[in-house]
Amino acid sequence: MNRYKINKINDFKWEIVKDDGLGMRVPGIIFADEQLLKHAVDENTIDQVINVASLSGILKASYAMPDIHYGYGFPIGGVAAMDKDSGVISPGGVGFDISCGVRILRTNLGIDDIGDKLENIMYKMSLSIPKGVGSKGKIKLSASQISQLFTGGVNWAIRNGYGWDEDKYFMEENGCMEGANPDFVSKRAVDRGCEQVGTLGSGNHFIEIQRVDEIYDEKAAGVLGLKKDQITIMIHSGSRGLGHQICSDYLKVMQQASLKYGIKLVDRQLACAPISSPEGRRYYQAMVCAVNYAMVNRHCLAHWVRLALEEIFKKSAKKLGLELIYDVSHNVAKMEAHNINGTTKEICVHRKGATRAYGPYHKDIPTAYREIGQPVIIPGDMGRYSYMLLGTKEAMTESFGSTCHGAGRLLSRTKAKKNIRGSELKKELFDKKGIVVMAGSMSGLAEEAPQAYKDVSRVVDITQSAGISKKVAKLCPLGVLKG
Amino acid sequence: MYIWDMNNINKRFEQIEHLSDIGIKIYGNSLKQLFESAAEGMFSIMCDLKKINPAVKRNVSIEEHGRMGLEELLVLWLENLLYKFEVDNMLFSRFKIKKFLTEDSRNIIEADIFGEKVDFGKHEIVVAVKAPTYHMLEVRKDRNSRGWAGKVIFDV
Repeated sequence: MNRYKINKINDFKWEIVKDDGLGMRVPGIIFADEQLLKHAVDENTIDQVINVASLSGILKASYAMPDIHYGYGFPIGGVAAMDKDSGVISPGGVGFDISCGVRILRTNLGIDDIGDKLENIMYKMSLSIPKGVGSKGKIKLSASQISQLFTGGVNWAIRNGYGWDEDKYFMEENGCMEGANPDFVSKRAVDRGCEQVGTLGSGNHFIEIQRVDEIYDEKAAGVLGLKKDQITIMIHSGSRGLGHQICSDYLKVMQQASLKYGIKLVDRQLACAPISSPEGRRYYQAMVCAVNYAMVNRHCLAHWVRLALEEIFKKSAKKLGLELIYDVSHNVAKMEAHNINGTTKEICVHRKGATRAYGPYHKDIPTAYREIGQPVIIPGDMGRYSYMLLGTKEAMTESFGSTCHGAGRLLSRTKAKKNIRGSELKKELFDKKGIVVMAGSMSGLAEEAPQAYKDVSRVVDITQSAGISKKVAKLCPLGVLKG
Repeated sequence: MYIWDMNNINKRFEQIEHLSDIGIKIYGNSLKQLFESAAEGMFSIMCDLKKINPAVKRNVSIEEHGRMGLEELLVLWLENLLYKFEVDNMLFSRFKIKKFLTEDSRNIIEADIFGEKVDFGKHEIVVAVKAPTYHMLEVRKDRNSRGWAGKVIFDV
């Protein structure tokens, strides 16, 4: 017997009824079908949605996207918008990998251009992409250089010869989020971050060579420059040790701040402080440094990818049409303007394993895409597919302009490792699907096996049915590079 | 899971299930040993401890003023080790806490930690731990052994 009550709003939207006895200030809203909802109930993830609903200043609801799964503190797939004056900001609502995110590049290559080059491409990429675990990156930054990166974001990278100037127009915040203050980033965080720019990291981070498998919206795909059988490159990484350390540093600050401001916590990982408090402001400004670092990290990874492909195809990246389609974070807290009871207010939206999905004509969408809505990149798993979606008008009213971020885990890492052998998986993916996988660790690969994830198509179909995003294209992996 | 006998403790640590991430249960005769077990448990998530030669010594020194619970101190200890892992590019397999002091306003850990530089030819790094979390974090007297036990969930 659950301690909470669930109401069905429609086939894809469920309400956890606000219960004062559970400390809920707002209801919970879960976008899911019956099966995914049952999964969330069985895994006790609903308890985490309820815990978030107890945070001060939370507006409308504690939201969960269809890829919701059990996290620590916040659920993965959680969205919480906080009133700027009465609300709190929580490092746990962003996560350790601040601004972990995805970017996708188009190419003017088709599947036929890849031919028998795939293994060579993957080999070349595995040599030229620093993984970061046990190896440092190609860029070494001094304390003053990293400060310039924190405040300049991708502009810093472009000034220093990494990537193209036009890339920044196809990134959230144009590649540089405002409000960074390097003074609030610890020396330890800087030490961890100064040699990791342009490194992939481990776990679920990857670089994939993909093929456009299916187009759902020809017009939008045309605007994004996508067509069937075209080759695309997807990159998934975050703010590396720098972001992890900033989160760790501020979780400690927030443990004390929660006591200081009399905030009762049901889970210490939810430690937080009022947005307007000195602790809250310091965290936000340090977090922005990590957001800019993460965008630069993906930008530099894309730069190494361009160089590797130039070498393989003996053509410039410009001639290969290796242009950035979009870059988007899925672990972040942002000050955004949203309509609250008929008035536009600036609020703080936490997205923990959720993607911003602004609808058409929003001013923060690149001009080229403004009519279709913000591109949303949803990585799936290494054996099946990933998706390109668009934000919708409904997402603005239904979920503070947010949607899912991925497939969501089905098996724990321990279970996946027990059931799957990495070397067999690698062979099977190649023999059955022709997918070339390069990975540093076979056990690590087993943890990321397709079977360990939910079917992402189910997740994106629910976001479309719930109205919070719209499918444009399905992308299938050809080559996968894991950290 | 990685189990062996040492100092009358049957298990120093064991990995536990967590859907998104990885956790460990830890055991020790003393708090000092509990913290050492946690360090071993954390590095065992990243790499087979048997493959890490404890040949090179590094020092970890933590001094925190102000009130701090044992659990927060455990997180801080593990964070310090992760920092060494990333910045020194080293894996560690042996941990010797020389000084362990927790008072109302002073918390001190001084330790020698032993390991070696990461070598891809030798070390298969399964996954890098991003951080220890406060979620389900626990340090308590163990009812059965009269020693200490605890639990940590890591973000990986």
